[in-house]
Amino acid sequence: MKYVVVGNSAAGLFAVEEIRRRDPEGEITVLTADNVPYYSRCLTTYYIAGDIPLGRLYLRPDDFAPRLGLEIAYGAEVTGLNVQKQVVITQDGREWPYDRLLLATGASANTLTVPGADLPEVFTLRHMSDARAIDALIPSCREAVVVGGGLVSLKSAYALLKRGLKVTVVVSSTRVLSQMLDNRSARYVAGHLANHGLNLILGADVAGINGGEHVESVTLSDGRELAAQLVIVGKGVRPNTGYLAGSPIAVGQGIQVNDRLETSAPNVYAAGDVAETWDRVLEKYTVNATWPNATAQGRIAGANMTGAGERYLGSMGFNSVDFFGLSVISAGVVKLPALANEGSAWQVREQWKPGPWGIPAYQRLVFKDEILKGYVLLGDTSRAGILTGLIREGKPYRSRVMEA
Amino acid sequence: MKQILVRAENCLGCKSCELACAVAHSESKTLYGAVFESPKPQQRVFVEGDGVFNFPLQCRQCTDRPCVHACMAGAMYFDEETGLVQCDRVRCVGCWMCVMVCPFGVIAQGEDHRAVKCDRCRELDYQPACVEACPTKALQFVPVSRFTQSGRKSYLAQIAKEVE
Repeated sequence: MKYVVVGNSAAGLFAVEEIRRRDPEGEITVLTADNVPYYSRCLTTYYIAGDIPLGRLYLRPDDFAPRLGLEIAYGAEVTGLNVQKQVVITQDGREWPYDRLLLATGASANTLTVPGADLPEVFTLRHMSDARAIDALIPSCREAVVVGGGLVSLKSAYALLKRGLKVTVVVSSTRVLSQMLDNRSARYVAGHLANHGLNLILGADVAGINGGEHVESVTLSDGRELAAQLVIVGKGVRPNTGYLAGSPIAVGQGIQVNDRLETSAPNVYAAGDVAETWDRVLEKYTVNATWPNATAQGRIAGANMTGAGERYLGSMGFNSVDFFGLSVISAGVVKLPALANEGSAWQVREQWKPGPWGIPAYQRLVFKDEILKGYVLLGDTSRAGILTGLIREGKPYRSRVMEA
Repeated sequence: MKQILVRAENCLGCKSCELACAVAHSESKTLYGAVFESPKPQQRVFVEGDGVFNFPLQCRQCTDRPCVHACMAGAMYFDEETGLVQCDRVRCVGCWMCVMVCPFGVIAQGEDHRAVKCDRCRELDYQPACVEACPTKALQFVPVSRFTQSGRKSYLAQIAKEVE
């Protein structure tokens, strides 16, 4: 059996491990546009912050590829696919035949299209190379602007703050982490970051980045100008599906897969940030681009490529982050407005208690009828996994909590 | 293979296991020494109770290992040699993804900002201190087969008693 896995991040890594565990004989080829072995892109901000050395980003020991018998082609960007011939085509024109193919090509960071966005000190943070370039630039910077209020932006801002820069985060919406948090917890997180020296500008857009050859300042849509020698753009990601143009593989927001993680073409699977999977909480297909979803999909796709026939029960939106000792975890449905038309079946239970060191313990539980559909925990996030498990199981639960 | 198994009906909720666990993970390995250590040694077993029913809970060594798969730092790992899920605390960055997915809620957040979980008393040559400390044998460290056997026996004994 000839396996080809495209991509060497979370989904690709867990897929090859699962394939090898189940099929000691098969030939496994890994194609990756990257030039570095398996590493965790979620750790790049910790590296920039100076919390961990670069070497800690690598996820597996040096002898990993030979030990698993992996043939890894670095710098091999996939440009096309022929599902009739069962070959993958890379940018050098080479054809790679497969019996089973996994597309784990991940996502790319969205960039700004404003004037000056192509200046050399304007970065997105997606790859190890981005992190290294930003790290190298920091000693010559005093001020930085981070664009966007999502997780990558705030983690980047946190890292730059820790490195002693004066950091301004510019967010178009009126709150931070709008995908992950409700208003109350978002406001608290924003205040907490401000207390630690972050300058946060909400409800503003970047109109342009100024400077001749180097970034000198950022102009906002309201005319304000912020001095900066470094700009990091965190405006979300989009699945890498460009190479599928002209192929019969169905693409929606991402590559569409069924509950076996098979795409619409035979013997072709997809997993990770590129895949549009069934969201078991929202009960619709969507892209849930987080590490745990990617590894779970990689494992199940890998198993099914060897013929295991495992069912993927679905992804869910969840994430965890910690800023200066403030832990925040959320999962599933955290906001109601979009669901308001479904009436009173939806209920929220909130608890805000004072906690140690001035950090409150906030708990927000979102129920549909008796079933837990989502939560936000802030401050005290211990045992969050029990709630995650309850959401995952979808068993009635509310009345017992309400009594407690 | 031996596992830490629980006869919940024996648990009085005395929390001797919690204390022994914290001491076992202290520098000094003695209660007196542990009390004065900073950071304070943390327990990795948690006695849960609702006033009637008590249950001492620690890492259940899930076969699907959600914490290992959620760990973006490569810190949580499955140790092939011992068959145990362990945390490489050097690699842990305190992102709490493991806390987010542990269905038993038994991964704690350490004072040093790193994950804290049952390591089956690795430093004590894998002789669990919680089991040793349990005065009622609610906690047992036995092969699963023997545990189920003793379960069947006690069930039969109970039926016999009821018949009498």
